[in-house]
Order: sequence, then structure tokens, then C-alpha cells
Amino acid sequence: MTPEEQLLKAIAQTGTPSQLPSDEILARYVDGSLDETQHARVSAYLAQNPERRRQWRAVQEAQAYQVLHRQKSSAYWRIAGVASAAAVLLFTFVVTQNNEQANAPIMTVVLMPQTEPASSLARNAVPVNYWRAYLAGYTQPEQSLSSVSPQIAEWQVLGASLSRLQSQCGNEALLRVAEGQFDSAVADYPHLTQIKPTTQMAWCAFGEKLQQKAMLSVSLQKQTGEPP
Amino acid sequence: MASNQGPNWRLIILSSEFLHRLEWLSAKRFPQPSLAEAAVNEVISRLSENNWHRLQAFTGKALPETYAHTVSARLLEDYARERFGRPRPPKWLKDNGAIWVHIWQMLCLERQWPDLIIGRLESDHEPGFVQNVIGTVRARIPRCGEPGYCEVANAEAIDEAASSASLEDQVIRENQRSVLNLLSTLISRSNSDACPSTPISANGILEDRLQLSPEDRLLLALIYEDGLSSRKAAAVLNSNPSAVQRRLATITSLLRDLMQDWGISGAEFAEVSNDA
Repeated sequence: MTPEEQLLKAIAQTGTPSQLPSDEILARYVDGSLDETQHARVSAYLAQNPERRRQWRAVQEAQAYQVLHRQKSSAYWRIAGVASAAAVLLFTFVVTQNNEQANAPIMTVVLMPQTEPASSLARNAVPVNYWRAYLAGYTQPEQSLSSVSPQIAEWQVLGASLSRLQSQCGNEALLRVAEGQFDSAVADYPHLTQIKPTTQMAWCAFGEKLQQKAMLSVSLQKQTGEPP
Repeated sequence: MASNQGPNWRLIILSSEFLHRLEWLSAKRFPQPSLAEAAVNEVISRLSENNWHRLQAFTGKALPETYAHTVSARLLEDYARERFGRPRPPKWLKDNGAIWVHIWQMLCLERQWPDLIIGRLESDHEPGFVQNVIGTVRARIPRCGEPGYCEVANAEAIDEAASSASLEDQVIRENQRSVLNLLSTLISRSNSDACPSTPISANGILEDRLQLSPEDRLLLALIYEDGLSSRKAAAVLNSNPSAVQRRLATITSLLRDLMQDWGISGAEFAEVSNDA
């Protein structure tokens, strides 16, 4: 370790020791649902306490693992889809070749264009109850979670984060939290990554944009009477 | 509603998704498969005790799953501590950082296989780092992992009951004090009147001049205490590697300027560190 690194290591530990955060505060730190002051306090504590830092990292990684796992699952199904299409093509080719050799009438195989079926599109749509959770979080960011389902709660937390970011536009820590939550929430809905903001100003207005989408989805569901 | 009746912990903990992640967490903490399995069983058993009593402090402000994972991660460490004790690590290990102490625990006390430790931890660090730590620990502690080593090390353990601070906390404080003392020694050697002459004032000036946020300190701890690569630290902090590298470069440059103002060169600091 260089002298500078040695000093930086010592500097990381300086400062007033913070109070030991409870497991729930630490969980909220991972969820990104603490306010800025509480977030800073926990960061200071973690910088000073390697054991608690290890616990935090473990939970953080477990969350990331879940997202990765979901992405891997959807990638698996995408690969499976491509593989099935390839198998059909190969089968058609072999049958056609055999038929030609035998001078028999060519077997007609109509290959459907590779468009996504409607059921698959419907599967990719964000469920209405997720949008409702988002609206709950966005309009009442301090409200406690209204669902035990982590996926639904994730959208409520996203709503709360974007609401806070909107009221404290320019706060980098809040922006990072909101971005992380957005990435995690839309892991199953990759089409939503297309609307991910690219500038700080766009992030500040993003909560409202998603609110409109959410309201549209909820109102469509009411009109069609489809189950959420 | 999570806040009124409380979540159904049985449903959450015994869901395949939660168990899958708990197994993954345990396998990361205990690369040895039998140990990982025993730890998972122990954690589930403790969580479910007295009608999920350990989870009853939940107030509904965090996601129930995140909360359950936070408690589980703590229970995994409790399991390691109860099973293998908490002996005092050698001083040179402490000086190298928390990751060295952690690997020493895994290797020498918990007797986990080096290859498995490398396999589990190497992706978090710069290439070759974990292997290097293991090599150094084994070279300097020949009895590492041998039957009886744990008891010998345990016999030297300090009594922590009187102190609420953990062993690793004390390690950090000692390390911090010694480095700041060194810095103060160097500063007092210089002729500048503006220089601080005690560790406290050196610390105060460092604080003022470097203007570090709690997030900066956490970043420094992740990199220099836990030995994480900047890519991994960025992932843990939900940031990106280039932002992390930029911030580290800025802090290092500020520190370098400060040392220069005090008339201390890196070589001089290294020399005094080695003497100490």
C-alpha cells in the first residue's frame, strides 16, 4: 500500500462516530428510502465499521443478485425462442431438400414472421397494480409500504424516490438512488429503459412523466374492466 | 398492509426466491459447501424461532424482503462468530485492512479451502489480490488452518465483553491513530508555523481541507479497507466506475497538495511508516 493509500485508509475512519443503525434502517438504506440526512449518517457509520459494512454489502449484493437472476431468466427465454425458430427453419430446410431429391411435391411450410405475439406483449406490460403502487409512492413518498410483494413495493419506492428527487432537483445522491431503483424496477420490462432520462433535468421531471403513464394505465384498466 | 398486521414472514422466508438468495449469500460468506449449508439451516432455524420473533422489530418502513436479508446477513456473521470464536488477528494483518482480517478468518480459523475462497471473492477485487493475500497469510502464519490453531488464537483473544465496539472497530481505530500520529510526527518535523502538531489538529485540518462527504469516506473504506476494485465499489454504491475513479483521483490530488503544503513527501511518509 502506498503512503497516500495508507493515509486515505486512515482518513476514511476519521470523523465523529455515528450511532449504530438498526437492521431496518440498514434495510431502508439499501432500498434507498431514507432521507438525505439519514442516508449520510448511515454512510458515515458504514465507513467506520467494517462488520456492518460487510452486512450491508451482502444485502446489497443479494438485491443485485435478484435483478441479475431475473435478467438471466428473461435472457434464457429469449435464447430459447431464437433456438426454437432456428430449429423450425432447419427442419424445413431438411424436409425441403429431401423432397426435392425424391422429385416429390415440395412440402409447403409457411414460416410466420418473427413478430412478438400479443400475449407476449401483454406479458411485458407493467401490471396496473405496479402502477398503482408507483402512484402511491409518488403522491405520498413518506407513506409506509402497502404491499408485501417486493416487486410491487419496488414500484412504490421508485415513486417515492422520484418524488423526492423532483423536490430536491440536483441532489446527486437522490439521483443515483432513483436511477438504481428505476433500473431494478424495469428489469422485467426492458422496453421502459428506452425512456430512461439522460440528463439531470430530465430525471427531475421523470417522476411526473411516469405519473402520467401510470394514470393512463390505471384509467385504461378501469375502462376495459380487465383484472389488474 | 405491512405496517398494520406485519408481513407474513413464513411466506417470505420460505419462498424459493428468498431461500435461493440466502443460499447464495451463505455460499459467498462460506465457500465451503458443507459450512454454507449448515449456516443456512442455522439462519432459518433462528429466524423461525418463537414465531419469527427476530423479525418482529420490523415497522414496515423498509421492504420486508430487504429487512429479512439484512437480519439474515447479520445472523450469518453471528453463526461464524459463535462457531469459530473471535480471536485477535496479528497486528500486521490489521494494518493491511479489513479484507485481510476477513480472509485470515476464513482461511485460518474457519479452515475454508483457499481455491474456494479465491473463487468466491476474486471478482470483487483486482485480479490476483485475494490469491496474494492468501499466499502472504499462509507464508507468515505457518500454523494457519491447522488443527488447534483456532484454540491458540482464541487463547490470545481479548475480552470484548467490556467494550461495545467490535474487534474490527478497535483494529480500525488503532490503525487510524497510528497513521495520524505518524503524520503529526512528520508535520512537527517541518518548520512551517502553520502546521498542526497533534493528531487531533492534523485530523481536523485534513477534515477541513479535504471536505469529504460521508459517501466519500465510505468509498475510501471500500477501496482501501475492503480492497474492492473500483468497478465493484461503484456497483456497491450504485454509481459507475468512471465516476468512482474520478472522485478517487480528486481526493488523492487534494491530499497530495496538502502534504506538499506541509512539506511532506510520499517517500518521507513511507520511511517513517517503515520505521514505526
